[in-house]
Amino acid sequence: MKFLSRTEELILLAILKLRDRAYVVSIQEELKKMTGETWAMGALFVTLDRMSRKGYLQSRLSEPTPERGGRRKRLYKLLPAAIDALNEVRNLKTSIWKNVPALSKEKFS
Amino acid sequence: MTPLDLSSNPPHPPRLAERIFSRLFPDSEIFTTLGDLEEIFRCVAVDKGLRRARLWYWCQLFKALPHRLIGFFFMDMPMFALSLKIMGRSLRKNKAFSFLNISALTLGLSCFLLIFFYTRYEFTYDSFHKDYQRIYRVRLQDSQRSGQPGFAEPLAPALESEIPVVEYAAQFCYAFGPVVKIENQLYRSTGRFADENFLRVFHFPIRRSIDSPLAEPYAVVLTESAAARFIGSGDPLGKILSFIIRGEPCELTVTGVLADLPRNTHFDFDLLISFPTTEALPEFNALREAVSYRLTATYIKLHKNTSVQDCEEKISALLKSRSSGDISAVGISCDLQPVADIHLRPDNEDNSAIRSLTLYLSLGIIILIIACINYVNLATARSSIRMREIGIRKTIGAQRRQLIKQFIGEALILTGISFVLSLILIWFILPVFNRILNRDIGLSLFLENSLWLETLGIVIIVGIASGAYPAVFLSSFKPVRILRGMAQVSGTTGFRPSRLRNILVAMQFAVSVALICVSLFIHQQVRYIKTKDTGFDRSNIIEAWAPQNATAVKERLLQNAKIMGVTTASNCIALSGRKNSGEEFMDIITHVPDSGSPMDFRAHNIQCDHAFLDVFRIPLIAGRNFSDNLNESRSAIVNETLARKLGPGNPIHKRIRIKNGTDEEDESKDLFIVGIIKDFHHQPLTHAIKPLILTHIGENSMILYARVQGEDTAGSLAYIRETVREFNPDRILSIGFLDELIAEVYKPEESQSTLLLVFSTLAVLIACFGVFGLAAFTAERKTKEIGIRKVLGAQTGHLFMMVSGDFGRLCALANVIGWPIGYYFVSRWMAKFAYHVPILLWTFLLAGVLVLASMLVSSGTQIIRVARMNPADILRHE
Repeated sequence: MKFLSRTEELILLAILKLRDRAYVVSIQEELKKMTGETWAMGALFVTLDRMSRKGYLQSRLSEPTPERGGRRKRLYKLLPAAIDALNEVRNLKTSIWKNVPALSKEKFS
Repeated sequence: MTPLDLSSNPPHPPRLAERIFSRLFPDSEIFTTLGDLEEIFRCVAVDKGLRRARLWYWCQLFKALPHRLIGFFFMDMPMFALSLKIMGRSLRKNKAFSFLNISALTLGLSCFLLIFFYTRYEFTYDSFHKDYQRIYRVRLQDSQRSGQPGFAEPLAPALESEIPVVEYAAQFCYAFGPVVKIENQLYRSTGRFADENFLRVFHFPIRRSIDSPLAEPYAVVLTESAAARFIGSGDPLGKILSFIIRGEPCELTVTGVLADLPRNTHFDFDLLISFPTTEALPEFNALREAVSYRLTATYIKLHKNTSVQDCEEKISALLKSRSSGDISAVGISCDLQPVADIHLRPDNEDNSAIRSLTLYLSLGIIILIIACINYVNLATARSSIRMREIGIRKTIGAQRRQLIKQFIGEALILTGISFVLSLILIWFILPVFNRILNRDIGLSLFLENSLWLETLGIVIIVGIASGAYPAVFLSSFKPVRILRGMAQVSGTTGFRPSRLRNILVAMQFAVSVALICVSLFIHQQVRYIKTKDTGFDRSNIIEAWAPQNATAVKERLLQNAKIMGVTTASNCIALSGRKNSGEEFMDIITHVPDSGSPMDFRAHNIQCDHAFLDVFRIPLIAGRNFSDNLNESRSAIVNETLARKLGPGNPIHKRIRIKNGTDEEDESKDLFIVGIIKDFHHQPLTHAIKPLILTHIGENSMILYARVQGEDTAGSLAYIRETVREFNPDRILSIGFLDELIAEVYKPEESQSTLLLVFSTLAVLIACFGVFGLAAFTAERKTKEIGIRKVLGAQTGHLFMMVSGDFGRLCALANVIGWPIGYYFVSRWMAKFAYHVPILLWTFLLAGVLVLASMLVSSGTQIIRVARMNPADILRHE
């Protein structure tokens, strides 16, 4: 079983938070809020496409909006598989991290 | 940053970029993506301003572009990496070929881009003014004087008040190079008079100024560099400068500072004096009113959406109603010259600047084509090297289309590399190029005016043009035949590529021959005009600008033993009739015969004293020279051309009259011809000798000529400079040797000749690169044949003839094609000159021989290298 990559995980979490307003621009903004970095649009498109193919996401076109020159948005929605995958990653991480004592650099030097 | 109002007028992303996007990615997703981009575009526009947002949008496009292009030409990234690898290998494997290919392309592209930048630069003169399309120079056509850009009464106020379509009318007036006096030191300036509308019509950024700086008399606006020169550091506003304007001193207050003028404007001033000042200078004002049509230019800015023709008619009507009866009878008409045209077409009839620009541009295109042909030739000739690769690719399923795309992609990459190299090359060459042409073209031009977009387009076109045929040709190989080892390619396309190569090579050399012919002739012509006997002796003549105390200066100079003769004249002997605007000015002469009606014609007039003919050694044919003792105010000496105009009969004692514009006809001022001189060239050799009339000069001379002894001319120059300065204390002197001044006139032709010579040499060089490559290829293919022939007893010379003979025949053919083309262009260029070298056959032959020789050398070295190898070495492998 392949786990979600960190990028995928963050994007899915952003979509989860945005609920029905999730499209590329809002996802980019959300990621900026979450990580403090501006994510390249291209990276988002590629990952969103891949996750749609894997069955994590479903997308549909919205009604045209004037602030985009009358063009439609592609809105993304999580599918159950995505929730499973997210839970899986979370469980994996918590179970592993649980046994790791607090880290400090001194111990290793 | 401009505040943006999003609700009413949202900014729109660049439409061109949008269109390219939707073309490049023609899938269904593009619309949502464009929407996303537009949304972010607006955010960026609000945050950082519209300019940054536009830039951002374009950057998005260019970030998307490479991936898309790679996808198009090489399917995907791994394939691209593979292709790059194979390409790199084949480039490395044949270092000489790769070098030839890339350097020829680089040279060709550099030449073309240089010329392209230069022409673009020339065409953008004065287009930096805001609304420059609505700015015009008013030119008045008077049937007696050709195209004077001005008029006898101040035109601008009348235009502005009486013609509603005129938004502003500005006056701009020549000021005879006002002199700035600082602590008894004189400094030359190129100041002009301008009224307050001038800065409204033209966009010369004001650094600091009071309100309407040119409205009051005694005000001056400096450019930044003039301010630094005359005032130094510190606040220039309110400072007072002493000026001497054509002998009249005045004190002017600095009211403003302009940014330095950009080089691409037809204006040339370092300071502007307020126009009302002219009225405060009595002498100058009198002169201005008398010959205003020669001094003042009027510029107007029209309102939006007005018809130029309509405005011209209105101005003409206004002029007719305003002018006194005398002038309206002559018939004045006006035409409006767009300000952006002034640089390239100072005169309506004069298209020479535009013609030479098109000449340059076609030269650049020709060189580019030669470079592309090289690529085609080398790529097809080398096809055997890549045959196996193509065979394998095809066997494992590559389609022909994919191969074509791949090869064009390779050509594009090579062109891209050459482009980068040529930009570096241009960066080094530009300073030299600018010096030859006296321009300041910089690579920054590249970023303005969307020039980079055009350049990129050109690079892509070059890449595709040079890659297309090789791609089609290479991809046509049949894999079975290739892999079975039948390397004979010729049969597969039905058209032998070697024949196409021959045609292309012949074309290259035909063009080279034509170019060499043209540049040889132009070179000869430039030498000719510089050395031709102009009918007067111009060696060891010193010309000095000495408007005051001419008689005293003359007397003093003649006391020096090294000075053999001194004369004064009203204008330059070799440039008569030349004005600052570059237009020709001629007086109207009336011949008044004893009986019958007077006859009008135009002639040049030089006023001079009795020593003129002696100093310049101009022979007198009939009659007498001016005399020192007689009153000569009614005598005239004419040249042969004018004498012929007067018709049969002895011209001596004929009566003529010089009309001065509005002067009343006055019989008491009629002149009588006393002498006839041999024709001499009183204008540059572009003009035929025109009628010339010499009249005796009074005290108001302008130029002083001194003939000095051949040795120590520099010493004499210094002596004359001192003497003239002594008698002209408040003038700035210009002094120099006459032959150098005359040579200066032919500078444009000289630089044209230099450029053409350089570019034609490069064209031949590039063509030779191609031949060199082809010959190397032939020699390589025929190595074994040459070895066997040598064993059987062939001489090196024979072998040389065997291979180079083909090229020789091609070259002969090229000559036959190239000569007529060359002749056509030469005769067109020569038409500009009234006097030119004869178009002789030997120059054509020389061009042919030069090209033939360079071709034989470039092909021969390869053949001879192979032919001199030991046949045993060549044949041993088998």
